Amino acid sequence: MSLRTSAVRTLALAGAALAVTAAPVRAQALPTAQQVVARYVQAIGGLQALSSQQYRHMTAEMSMPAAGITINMDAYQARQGNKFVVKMEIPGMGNMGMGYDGQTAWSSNPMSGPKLLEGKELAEALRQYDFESNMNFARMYQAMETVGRDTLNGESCVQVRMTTQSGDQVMNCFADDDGMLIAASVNATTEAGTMQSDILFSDYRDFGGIKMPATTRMSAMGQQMEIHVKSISTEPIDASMFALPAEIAALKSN
Amino acid sequence: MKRTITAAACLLLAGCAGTAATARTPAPEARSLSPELAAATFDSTWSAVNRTFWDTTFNGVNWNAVRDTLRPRALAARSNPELRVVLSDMLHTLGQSHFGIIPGGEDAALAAGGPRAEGAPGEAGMEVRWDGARFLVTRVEPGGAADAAGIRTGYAIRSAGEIDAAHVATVVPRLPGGTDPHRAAFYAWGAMNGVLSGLAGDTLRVRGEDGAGRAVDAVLTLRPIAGQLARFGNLPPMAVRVEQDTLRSDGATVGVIRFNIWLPAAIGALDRAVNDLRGSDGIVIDLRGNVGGVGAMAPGWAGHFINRRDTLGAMITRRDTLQFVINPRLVNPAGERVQPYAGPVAVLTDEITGSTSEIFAGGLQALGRVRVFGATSAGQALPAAMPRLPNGDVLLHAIADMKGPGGVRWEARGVVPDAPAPVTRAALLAGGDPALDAAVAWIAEQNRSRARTR
Repeated sequence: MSLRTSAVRTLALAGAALAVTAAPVRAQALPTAQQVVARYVQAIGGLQALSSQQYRHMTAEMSMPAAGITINMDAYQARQGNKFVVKMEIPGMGNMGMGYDGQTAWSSNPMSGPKLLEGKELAEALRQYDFESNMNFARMYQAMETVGRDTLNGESCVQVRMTTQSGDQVMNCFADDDGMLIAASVNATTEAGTMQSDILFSDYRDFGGIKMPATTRMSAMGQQMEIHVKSISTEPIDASMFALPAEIAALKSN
Repeated sequence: MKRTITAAACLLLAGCAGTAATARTPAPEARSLSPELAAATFDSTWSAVNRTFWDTTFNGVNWNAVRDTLRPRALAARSNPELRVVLSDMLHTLGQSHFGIIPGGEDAALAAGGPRAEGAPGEAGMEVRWDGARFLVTRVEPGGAADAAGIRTGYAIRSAGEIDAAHVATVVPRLPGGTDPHRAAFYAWGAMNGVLSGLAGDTLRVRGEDGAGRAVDAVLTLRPIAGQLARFGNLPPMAVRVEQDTLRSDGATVGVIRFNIWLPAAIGALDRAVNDLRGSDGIVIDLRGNVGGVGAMAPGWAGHFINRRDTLGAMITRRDTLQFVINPRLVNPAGERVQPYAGPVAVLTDEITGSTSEIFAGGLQALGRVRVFGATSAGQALPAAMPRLPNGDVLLHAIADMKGPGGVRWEARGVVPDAPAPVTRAALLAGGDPALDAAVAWIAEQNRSRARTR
């Protein structure tokens, strides 16, 4: 799980996606979940490379054909304090965002206004945007188990079911050939309800010594979305980037 | 965003395009659409509905059989207008709102009743409603084209441009649900609305009668639109108008907010309007003629009037149910801490009030937060998506059912006013506005009641 995945999930609530084609299961011994994720971490660059990163700044473009909308996104993360800020610019609507400054998680957009994240929504946001979400599965999930194999777009993968602390389930599928995460089916609980998203990851590229999917396709609520990563920088990010926006600070002033 | 992008905007944008195409036989023309493109467009349309229609019985329709029956006709279509007839016929079999084809390319703005590419957008400066046989002028924009031509509220319109009331009266009953007067009013309005806008400087011939029954034969020269021209996603460009006013009645100060469509371009003005009118004894939200728009705006704006997390309703797809969660608005546009507006709120609806407007009005009505005045709304409240088709047109298709608090469903039924106050020609001619007058009187009474208990 990475920032891309998180962004996808966030925007799933906006309605987008991609279909995952199930295929016959192959009779073959299944590795343990721990073996699968260890191979994945190695495949994307290894624990050392992952651990050396302290910051990430991703730029991406998301398109939602069902709405005719293309969104520009900047996502900033800092390992220390698990801070994050996601900024999106939607043509015809304006800017929206969400973030966490180490103490307060928030979201704000022109339509629904600013709000502080609470309860399961808060827990989900913190889990999704955890800096180590793509390396520290043991911390991210209370349980993991391999459950079978699937074939997606002709590629065989091992299905690993992961359960979050709050009980939501994620079914990840890791490619047999290179160990990469190529698909996920996410059943996430939000303030609005529980929603299932099917996600495909492809076009893995090297970003700062770590391989990440440059293309993510997702289906949710019967709609589709594509995310194309344009760049990922690991250069230091100024602390002011994670400061609470003025309207969020006003909310906290009560 | 939408799960959020509950399309809505315009049953009419799509519905009218489909309606017109269904009602007329396209003029013969040279083939401008290849069979391959026609097939791809037809298949995309069928598949999108097949994949997303929330009711797996397809409302009792054999969706596979519909495809098999209509696909040969689609392949034989020689032009996009011909193909739209076939696609509209297919979508109409479902008997639901929010299914239609929005013409793309050069046809888009024209079909939407919106501005075209080659000049400044213009409008007639009047609103009309169908009374079953003719159009009544329900509003005239001061200083607008209709005003300049001497058109007044209450006048009856028999024809405007290419739209003739007698023809409308003949065609509308043949449309799905068109024998229902309520639905007919919406169809007729859509047909007429298309000719009331165009390019500034265009002329529009209007024939009808004044209040004394004298013939009116006027030529309107369209004037630049009042409001902001806005685009959002695949929707054609549309004029966005947000108006606010303050009335005084029986010692009460009443704020009035009126807007024509739920597009993000309106958000800033809507937020400011609530803030400006915060000191009023009551607020009237006039959603008459507001056909809907981006669904996520409804719970967002409702947060100005609700002080607790609640839901305006739920959209129900095949596998998920998502709530339209209201976020209480605790910060004003200046970034200052405030409380949501707590005074009485009246909402005005009529038969053109559709989709997102119905979710807003009906949801807050079901929560007991507003009192609704006017006429029953359009009954077209389904969340929809708007993907572009291979031929460049846009498919408007509902992706979920919608239920309000307590399970109330507005599709086909509409939001039923607490206090019916239908518009009448006599009232219009007298300069009255029954729904607004009743709403203001209610707020004044609420104000008096509060004063008595203080």
